[in-house]
Amino acid sequence: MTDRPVPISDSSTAPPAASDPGTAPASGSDDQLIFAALNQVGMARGRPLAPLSPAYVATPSDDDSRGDLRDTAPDLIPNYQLLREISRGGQGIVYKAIQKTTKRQVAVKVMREGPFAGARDRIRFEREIEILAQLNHPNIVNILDSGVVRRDSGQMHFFAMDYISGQPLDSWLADSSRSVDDILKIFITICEAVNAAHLKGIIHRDLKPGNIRVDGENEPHILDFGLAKTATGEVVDELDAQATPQMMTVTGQLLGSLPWSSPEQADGRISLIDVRTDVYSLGVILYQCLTGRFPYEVIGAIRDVMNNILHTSPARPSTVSLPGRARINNEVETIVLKCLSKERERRYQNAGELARDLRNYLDGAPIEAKRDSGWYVLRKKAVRHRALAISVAAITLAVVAGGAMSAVSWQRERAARIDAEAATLLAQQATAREAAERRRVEALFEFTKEVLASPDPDFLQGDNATGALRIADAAEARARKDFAAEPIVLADWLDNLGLTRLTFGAREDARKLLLEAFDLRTRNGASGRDLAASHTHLARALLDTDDKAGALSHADAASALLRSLPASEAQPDLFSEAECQGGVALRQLNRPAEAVARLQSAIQARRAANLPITNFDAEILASLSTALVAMGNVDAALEALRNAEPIVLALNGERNSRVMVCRANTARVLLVRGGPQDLAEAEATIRATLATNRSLLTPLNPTHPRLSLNLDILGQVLIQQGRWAEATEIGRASCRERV
Amino acid sequence: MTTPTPTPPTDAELLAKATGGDQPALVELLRRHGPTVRARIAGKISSIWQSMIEPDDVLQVTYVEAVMDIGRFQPRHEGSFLAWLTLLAENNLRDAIKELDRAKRPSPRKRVTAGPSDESYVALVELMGATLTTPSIQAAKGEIKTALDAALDRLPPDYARVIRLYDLAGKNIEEVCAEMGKSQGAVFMLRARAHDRLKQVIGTESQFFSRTS
Repeated sequence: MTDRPVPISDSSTAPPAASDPGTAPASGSDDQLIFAALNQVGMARGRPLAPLSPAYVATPSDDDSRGDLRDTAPDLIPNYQLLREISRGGQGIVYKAIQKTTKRQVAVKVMREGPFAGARDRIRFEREIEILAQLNHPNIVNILDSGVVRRDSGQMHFFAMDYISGQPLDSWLADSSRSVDDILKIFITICEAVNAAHLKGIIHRDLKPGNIRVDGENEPHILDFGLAKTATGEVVDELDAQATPQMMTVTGQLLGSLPWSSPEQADGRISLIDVRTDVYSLGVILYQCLTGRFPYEVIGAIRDVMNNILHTSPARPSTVSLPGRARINNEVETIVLKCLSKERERRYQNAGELARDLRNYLDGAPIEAKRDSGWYVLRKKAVRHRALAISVAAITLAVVAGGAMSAVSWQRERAARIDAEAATLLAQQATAREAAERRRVEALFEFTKEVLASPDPDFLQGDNATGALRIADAAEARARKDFAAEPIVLADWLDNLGLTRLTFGAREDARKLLLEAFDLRTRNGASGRDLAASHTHLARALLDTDDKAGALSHADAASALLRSLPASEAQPDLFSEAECQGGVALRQLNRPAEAVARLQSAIQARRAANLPITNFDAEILASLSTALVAMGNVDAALEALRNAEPIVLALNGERNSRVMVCRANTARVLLVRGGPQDLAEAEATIRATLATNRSLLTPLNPTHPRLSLNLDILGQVLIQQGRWAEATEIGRASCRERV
Repeated sequence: MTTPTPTPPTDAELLAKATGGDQPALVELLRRHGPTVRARIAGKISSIWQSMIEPDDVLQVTYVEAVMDIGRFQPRHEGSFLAWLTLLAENNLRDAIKELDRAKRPSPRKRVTAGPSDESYVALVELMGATLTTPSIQAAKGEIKTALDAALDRLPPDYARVIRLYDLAGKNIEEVCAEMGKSQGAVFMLRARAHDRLKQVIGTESQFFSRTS
């Protein structure tokens, strides 16, 4: 300002009195005001770019406003004529200068003197010099010289580097004539420069628009490696371990470049910082470049900002495009969102991959990034807000299904799964509107996923099945309405609802839904994982509708797709399911040896990935036993079933259909082996199973086919034992059951 | 592993860092002294203006000014930062009250125009008191508009917005308050600071305007 503030009372210039009412700690409101002020200062039109590049904060015009050297002597550094101060940061001051020997313009960074220029600062300063010396890339600022000047007050470290005329990236972007393609082109160059550092094992850790300068020929240059680290090196790690807490404790928050920070940085997980941290920051910058906004709110209390970085999904760039600039299309959006994944594993694994995908897009080639599936997104939300989703789903169930299952007992059962994290997150839920919206989506999700897709099929008979199918109908109608414009999400819903209908035995409906989901996914570029899921589910549906060859074909396609995924995206659970469906199809096609191999592959995939034991493990073992019997290896078949029974027993309890089916199968295999002890065990097993099945199934369906199947096995055991009269009586009973 | 609790840095240490461009240090200073300034300001808003301006309005602009000017601040004694921050705040409050008072007695010269046009841009530049060396403002007004737009883009967004709405679009104070979601006092205060900043930027821009002589 040209006019200095004029005091209106003498008290304002005096130090605070002892009774001064100012000892109260800063509140959330203070944080909000401060952060808003930082953003105000850093913003250009429509671009909350901010606060955090001290070099540019107070600089209306970077080249014009700081036209002096303050109190610095022009000949402070031998062989350099300092012209003016360019920027001033926590670590040092950068001057524009003339290198006297060459007469060329350079930038000279001088380490700050004073009480804070301790040994650690010197090490950090020297590290920046070493890092810059390692990097020789046209788009990374080039170091020219370094040295130490001895003065009365001590040593002063400096280094000289290229002077990049031009403007910071954010100013460059302020020109609204830049097209999306212009931005992507320059961004590819930026990524390649960052990748050059990555290839040398150097992580920048402080990428932001203020650290990227665009010269007059639209060439970007990466600046300021003052916070960079090498991926390996004990000295550096030790420095980080010292420096980061200090940085954190100055204000209690990591504020330096918070809006561009990755989740692992915001969370203070230093050990997780790697090249993918830079990929995240690049994603934030790209998002800003394209939309003029941050991916989430970065104005407000710092704890809220950190929470947003850690948990808030970015708003879709296509919905927040800059006015006057072309709308962001799906592929660019997918690329940006992949960079911004909260999980490092789901981002591009280095800046080079990001550059390559951007080039793919510009060249009209298929991009490598795939959009997160709707289920993945919903699952993430559901994990965060599980308690809420569960309770709403329970209420929905109780109201709509009219007692297909006791909502109270169901809720109680699920309540055990509500952990402290979910409760905390629930407490942090944002506005009432957001909560309502979240409930709407999550209730539907939880409801279909948790209630319809995985109950004991025996409960889904008669009126219960009718009630539950009505819910499935409602869910389908709602999904078709809500996700009409989101074919990939709709496909996720239809896929899941198809599985639900399979569970209910509505096989033809299931097949149609699964086919529709498959078609939607194929036409809309779904991920390999989602396509493989569709193939697998279709295989299951086709087996149920007796199309064995079709089922095998889909299972083979699923397995092949899943084998082609990179190790980082492996889906062992889905792969084992595909292998299992393939194995069952092969057995039904009378190719038992191949069936056994596929089923053993399914088991091996689950073991290798150390997946938790589920009912599906038992299902694979049961299928394996059938194939082994077909091969004549009855002992191995029996062993498979004896391995399966403890699994279903532990997971489902004694009075459960899965346990009953497993025991009936065991009796059947014992019957095949046919020794006297086998037959005795088979009889005892099938009689106990029959009794339990009668108590379980008769109230639901007195003619349940499993009852007559049990009687058939018992009759055959009795015939093998030569007990004809008893067998005849059992045969009559079986007929009665069927009627 | 637990991190030992560090000794909090003193004001002098933080100030040395903050004036050197260390933003976390500045934030910490603002967090330390903001509540004191708020309390001091609250005591200076007389009852007749309390419905028009709140201490947080003053602090908001004060923090913006502090962030922009910390690099020029030269501490002289231990309480310097608090005194400086208080000074900024009181200056803001004083300007707000001055404008609120003036608004009770509307003057036709208060506004540069009744609607947005090239003329309004030229009038605003004149209002700023910028030295225009061009003898023919008429010939240069297109350039003035372009330059002023560029200058406004360099201001904090709230500053630019208040000028665009109030000075250039000619909206009345109530409309501006409604659009910006701020009190009258806050809007007047923003405008005063926005004019200060705009003068600075125009000062450097105006030398590039056309000279038709």
